[in-house]
Amino acid sequence: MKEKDSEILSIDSLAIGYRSGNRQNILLPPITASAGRSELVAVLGRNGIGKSTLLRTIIGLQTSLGGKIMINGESLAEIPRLELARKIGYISTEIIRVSNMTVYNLISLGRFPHTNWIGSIDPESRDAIDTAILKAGMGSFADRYISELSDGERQRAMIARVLAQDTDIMVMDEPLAFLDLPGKYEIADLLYNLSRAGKTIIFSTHDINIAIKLADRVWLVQKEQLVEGAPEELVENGSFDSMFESPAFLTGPFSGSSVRDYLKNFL
Amino acid sequence: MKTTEPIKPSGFTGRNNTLIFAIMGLLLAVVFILDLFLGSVSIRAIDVAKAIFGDSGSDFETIVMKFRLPKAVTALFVGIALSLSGLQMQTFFRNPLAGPYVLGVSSGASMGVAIVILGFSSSLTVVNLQGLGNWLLVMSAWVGAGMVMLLIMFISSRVRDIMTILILGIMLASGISAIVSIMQYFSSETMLKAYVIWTMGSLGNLSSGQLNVLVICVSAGILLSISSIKMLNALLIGENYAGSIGLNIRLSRTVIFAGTSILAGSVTAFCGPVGFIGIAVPHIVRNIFRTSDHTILVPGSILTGGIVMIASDIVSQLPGSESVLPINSVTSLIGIPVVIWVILRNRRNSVSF
Repeated sequence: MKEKDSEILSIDSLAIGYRSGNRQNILLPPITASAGRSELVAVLGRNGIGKSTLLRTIIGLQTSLGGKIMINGESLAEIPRLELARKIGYISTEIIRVSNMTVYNLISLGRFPHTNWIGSIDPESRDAIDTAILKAGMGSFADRYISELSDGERQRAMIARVLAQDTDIMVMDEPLAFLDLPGKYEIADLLYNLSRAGKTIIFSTHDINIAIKLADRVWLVQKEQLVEGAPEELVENGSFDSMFESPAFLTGPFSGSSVRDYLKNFL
Repeated sequence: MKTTEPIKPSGFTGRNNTLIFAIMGLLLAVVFILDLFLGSVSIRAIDVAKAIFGDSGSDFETIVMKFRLPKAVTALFVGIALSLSGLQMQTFFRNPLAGPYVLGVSSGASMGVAIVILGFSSSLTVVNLQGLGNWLLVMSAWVGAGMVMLLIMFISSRVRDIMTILILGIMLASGISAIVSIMQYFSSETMLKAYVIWTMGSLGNLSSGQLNVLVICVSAGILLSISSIKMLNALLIGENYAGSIGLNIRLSRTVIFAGTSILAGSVTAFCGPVGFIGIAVPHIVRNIFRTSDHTILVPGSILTGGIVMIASDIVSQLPGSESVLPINSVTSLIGIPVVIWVILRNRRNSVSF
């Protein structure tokens, strides 16, 4: 974790959840967390705890029910939609299924906040798209149709789309899900390299080993509170223990070994 | 994985779009001219040409200039309108089977018209609908179409399944026709007659005033469609992603809602329900150009919609014979195979459209 002044995103007592009529359904206690420039931030937590809702709130797709999100010192609530799209990009778990759409078409949609009224691709956008394709390692299949891509290739295409969007921050909901083992590590490696090249990447995952190995910062989402810290800190102070509170670890083949010892293998 | 292969030409789609557009433009001109030459009354080509360019004042001139030309122009605009509204609905609902006819939007427009013809002032009949009457008719069709669009938009925000929405659309259309039947039951004989004539659907019954209104409305709809090209491209990837790249969802909903309602409503107001053009043409265009990009699909649908509709008109006249087929049966026979093909293809792979 880097010092405070390089923070690009800071979240202060944020309440996330859903509003129906006058009733509010707040999912988690007030969240306070931050992300530094060029950091890789892993969001960990059990299924259904509210990771996706948190990420959707950060990119402004869902309104917060209280608290504050600051991007580069500006309040998210006051940034217009189109301008926000130039600062922060998003990949959800939703798979895009459109026939006759080429990888190039998909990636060029990332230029949406930069193009004119009809969306024509000017030389600047063309350069941005070509660079995104190269960075995401997509050069060999930019002209294929997205319906023909494998899961790993599709994830690369989605990443290239966000790269073309040319934002400082990339938010990804489980980018490693649905991938086979090598695929997982290839995408994780790509995310790591992109963060080293200057992107701030916030991604949720269940691959705790990858998160511990690669992430600069972990947001551990728990029922009682969100714990934030460098992975080695959280391993040492036992914050991860709560993730292994399951009957499966008490008896049977998975019981016995200490969680902390297990996690230390990845440091 | 490091890739060092060179990037292929940007935006390459594997097809020569300029050439295809040129061929389509030529084809449109050819069918349009053919439509003037072929009809129930056989007129020698030389007489048609004379009627167009000369001032012969003959019966042929009346037939060509007063009947065939307006009818060809009507067919052109009807084809464009239905195709564009179908294209926008398919993208907006992310549903390959969406179209003004199948989702009941045309029926909604019919109900608007039925209320005007059957329900309102006794002086309003199709025969003397002129001037303000035309605008009243077309606006009531917009309102009817718009109400169904709103309902389908509401349903599809809750239900994602393509087939469910399709079935609900069919239910909606049936419900509307039931309401119209009840209205018919309680209406006077002259109004009933006027309405029944209208429901038969025809490209050839428009007065010059009505044709003007149709052309103005469809042109407005074309402009709206062109202005929504960028939004439609963003909506292809779903509202969440579209929002994340900066699309104003509410604005795009409004523009597309207005565009489809005006396009489908205006056509239905003057020509009655014309089926399956709206659903079929966008699929034809996508498969010709093999693209999902609306900067290609919108002009492509304009050209193809015109070609298909004028060709349907030529077929419906059964050139050389004395009889004319209802235009709706011709468009259905052209459109239904396309719809069946889309359904079967959809079962094989789970691509949405």
